[in-house]
Amino acid sequence: MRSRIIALSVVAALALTVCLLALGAVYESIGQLESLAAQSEKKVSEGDDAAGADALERFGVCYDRLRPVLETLTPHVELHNVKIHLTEAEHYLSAGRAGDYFLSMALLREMLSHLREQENFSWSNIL
Amino acid sequence: MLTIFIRAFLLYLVMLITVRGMGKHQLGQFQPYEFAMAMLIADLVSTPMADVSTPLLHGILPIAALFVVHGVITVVCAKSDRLRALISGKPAVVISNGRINHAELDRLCLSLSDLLEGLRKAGMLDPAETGTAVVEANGNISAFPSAANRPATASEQNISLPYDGLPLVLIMDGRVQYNNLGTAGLSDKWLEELLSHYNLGFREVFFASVNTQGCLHLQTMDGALLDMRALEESEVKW
Repeated sequence: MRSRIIALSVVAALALTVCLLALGAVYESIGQLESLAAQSEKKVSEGDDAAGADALERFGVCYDRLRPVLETLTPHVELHNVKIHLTEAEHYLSAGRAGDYFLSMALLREMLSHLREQENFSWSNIL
Repeated sequence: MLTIFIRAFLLYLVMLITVRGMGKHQLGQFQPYEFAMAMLIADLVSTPMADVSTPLLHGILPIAALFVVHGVITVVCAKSDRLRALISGKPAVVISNGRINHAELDRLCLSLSDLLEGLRKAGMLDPAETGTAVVEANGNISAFPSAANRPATASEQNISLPYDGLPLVLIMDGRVQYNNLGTAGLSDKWLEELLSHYNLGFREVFFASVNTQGCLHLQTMDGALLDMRALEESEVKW
């Protein structure tokens, strides 16, 4: 009985630790990506497309760096959608189509927000 | 494809460790909560096993959660009769003193056919010979003959019988079972010497076991059977 209780406690502690680390990693990663997306949008809305494109490039580098970790924690399809919207935004910005760029960025940020929301420890997610 | 292969391998290991950790109950007769657990584990494992885009942790963490809940329920059931009755149900006596309890059968939604089938499984061919039958919490039916229909026991006949314990296997397919030798308080040298009287070595013995009356039964690799007295009854220590 004692060994069973010890085993249960160890598994529970390990599982909770993994959950908390995963939560922290997702929050941290998404936070970094959201910040870079916001920087890009701010620069483009100020008319500085080059700085906006630079921020998007940094977003891409950051995304590629974080992707292996995020892939172990979130469904790959949703991460793939982030990359699709990033590629679209880069294309629209280089083509000078600001309206489409902002739409793609809005969808990109919505995807990032969704990734964070689904990891949130909240009643709405639990129920 | 290699990824799916490795993921299946990992998830199988996780499932094996989980089921092993849940104890022997899980491998034999299911209690209701164990049955639910077995179904859920199979389902949880199947999605990340087949779908590479689902993180492995999405399969492993729910299994860990189920393992913990299952363990807590098992511990609570072992400690509290009330909770065990609530979670697993209680055994129900469906035949008492040879009489079928109709009301209890109705309550359990069991038909007479189910009862007769259960009695046959329990070795009772004739229901009239059944003294007591119990539907256990796991749904099995245990049945016992009435006093008039069971053989008289040795104690009822005032017969003294020798200790009848578990025979120990000493050699399997030419390999000495050192654990069992240790349990019996014997050594491989003792066994070697015993076999040498019959011009046999370990490798020439297919199967050998010693019972609690001290008799060694063995079969050689070429199929010959031998029975010999290996120990005095007073030397039997297990």
